[in-house]
Amino acid sequence: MSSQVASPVAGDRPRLSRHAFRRFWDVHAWAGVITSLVVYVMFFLGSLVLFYHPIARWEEPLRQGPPPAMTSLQAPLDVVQRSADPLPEEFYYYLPKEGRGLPHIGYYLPGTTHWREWWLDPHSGRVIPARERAAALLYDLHYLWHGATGYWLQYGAGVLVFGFLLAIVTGVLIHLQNLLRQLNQFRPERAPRVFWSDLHKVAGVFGLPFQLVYALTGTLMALAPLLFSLAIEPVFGGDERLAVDTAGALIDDLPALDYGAPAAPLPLDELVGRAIVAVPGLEPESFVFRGFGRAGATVDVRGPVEGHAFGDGVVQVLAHTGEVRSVETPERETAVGAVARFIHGLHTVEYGGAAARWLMFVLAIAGCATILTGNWVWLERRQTRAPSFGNVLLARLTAGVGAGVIVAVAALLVASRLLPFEWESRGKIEERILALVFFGSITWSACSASTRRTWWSLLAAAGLLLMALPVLELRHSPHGLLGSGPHDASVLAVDAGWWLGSVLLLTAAWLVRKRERRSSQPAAQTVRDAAFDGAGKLATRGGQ
Amino acid sequence: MTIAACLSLLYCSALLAFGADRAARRGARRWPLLSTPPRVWTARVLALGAALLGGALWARIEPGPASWFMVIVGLMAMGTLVALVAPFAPRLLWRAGAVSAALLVLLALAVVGGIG
Repeated sequence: MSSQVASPVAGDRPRLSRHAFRRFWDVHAWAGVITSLVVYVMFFLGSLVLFYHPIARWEEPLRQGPPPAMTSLQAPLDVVQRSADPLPEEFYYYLPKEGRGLPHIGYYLPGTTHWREWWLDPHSGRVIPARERAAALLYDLHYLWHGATGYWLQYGAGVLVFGFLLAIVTGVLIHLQNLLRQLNQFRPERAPRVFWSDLHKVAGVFGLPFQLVYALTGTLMALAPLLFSLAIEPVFGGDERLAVDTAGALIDDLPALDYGAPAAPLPLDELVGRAIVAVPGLEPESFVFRGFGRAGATVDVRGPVEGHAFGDGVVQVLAHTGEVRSVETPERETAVGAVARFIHGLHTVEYGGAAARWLMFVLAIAGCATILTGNWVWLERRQTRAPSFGNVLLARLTAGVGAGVIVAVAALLVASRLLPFEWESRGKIEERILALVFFGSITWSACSASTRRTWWSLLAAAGLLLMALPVLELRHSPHGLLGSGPHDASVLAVDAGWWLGSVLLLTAAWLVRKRERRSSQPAAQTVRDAAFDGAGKLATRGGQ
Repeated sequence: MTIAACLSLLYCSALLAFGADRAARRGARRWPLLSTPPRVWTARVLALGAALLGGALWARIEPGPASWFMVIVGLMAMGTLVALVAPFAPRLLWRAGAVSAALLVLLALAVVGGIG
């Protein structure tokens, strides 16, 4: 690297000046190290969230059965209005996904960030409170959203991902002249520093468009509510209604508006009929009610439009009169609507089906590898120096967080299969198990004498937990890999996915353990091991 | 069937592009078929053709930008896998490439024969 710095111009290819190279290098290294672990967690959870719908179906038997015979779209709403607390003014109503399971509604308790969800059985007239939310918890944690922290942690995630974007851009700048050469240059037979560096560059360069798009769209999605609320006063003169009408497509949770005096809405079937007349080809999947029971109430009829990829079409109708208020489809959308549709469609992979999601999964895992190897390159470059507290801490945090999040997710899924559905507090218990295992892993890594031992132990634990999942799934559903009932493709695929993940994790654990044993031979003990594993030596140095 | 054909084409494209790269023409990873300049350029042209054909095929399922996003995503993912697996199991990759090419021929025959 120093030779590159010393020769700003080599051959025909222009190079960065020494000053620019050093500055970009520093920014790349520091932005990467500072943001790496949180962004890694977001990337890893994102790789699972790609399969949110199959996992959500796998975890909840109410999503797996054939849908009830629904005589009308209004009927399930009538059920919930008869049997539960009064519906709030704003709520979401979801139809059975892909022709399986029950319809359900969800809403935030007014004035809070606490989400409530109910399954609706129009046939028996039952309203069943949502029982299992492990997939939803992973989805929310992907952008660091939690009811307890509200939006602030999400905004912090948005800022951190922006820092990650900075690391990507500066990484491209410092490697610009060698970008193509580094595309395929992976030399596992070389020294660890070269190995990690090659892996970092191959995964980073191949995944560059993926990481750029996800960092950019992720930042925009995470910060959109904040940017929207900040823009209301200076851009829209404080007029919230105008702001919602102009740029509301960018955010999910609109500010509370005054929807006027009480007034009965038209039946949902009639409202949906008018939406379909406005947009032929619209296939309604969900509905967003705002100002329910008021004269100015609206219903967003959402769903894919036949022949169009990237995002749903949205038709907003006035609930009281049935008048179509706005249409957001590829042909008739506003500029803001088009931006929102592309941002959301790209980030949530609303194209390509299962094939695109599997390819994205590979890229997401490669993104995780890029992030972690960045930290290992940082540590390897400093291996010849005396071990510092910062580097030992970074090595241990990288192991604790890197493997800890995997075992924590596996523990969450096992808990979701073991806890009885009748327990009302099962959601909270699952959250606590996830947090306990995650922070426990970090603590254990911080106290462990060897980061390699941390890695293989946690990976093996995660592999064993995942291996148990298809067996434990039998407690709740006969539709899985080992079940005797008619197989459900999603449940089957998720069960198979857990076993595939288990095999990969156990293999990785075995390889790391083999490596640890080899390096624990006295002759092979290196200064690098001291840097990675040398808390004791650090203490000795402090004592001296 | 179209999905399988498109993924096979993208894999072949990534493999040919990798084989034509300087990094793939060293040591155990060397593929003698691609070791001379004319063959390297032929491989590059074939890789480009396979990627374009893959995009055109996917456009039959999803028209518009989605098909080209699919090509980009496919090349990124397959390229990563090929580059990272090649040093450990080069023969496995080339054999998978041969299987993909054979699969493409079968799929083409099936389409010509009116199946799918």
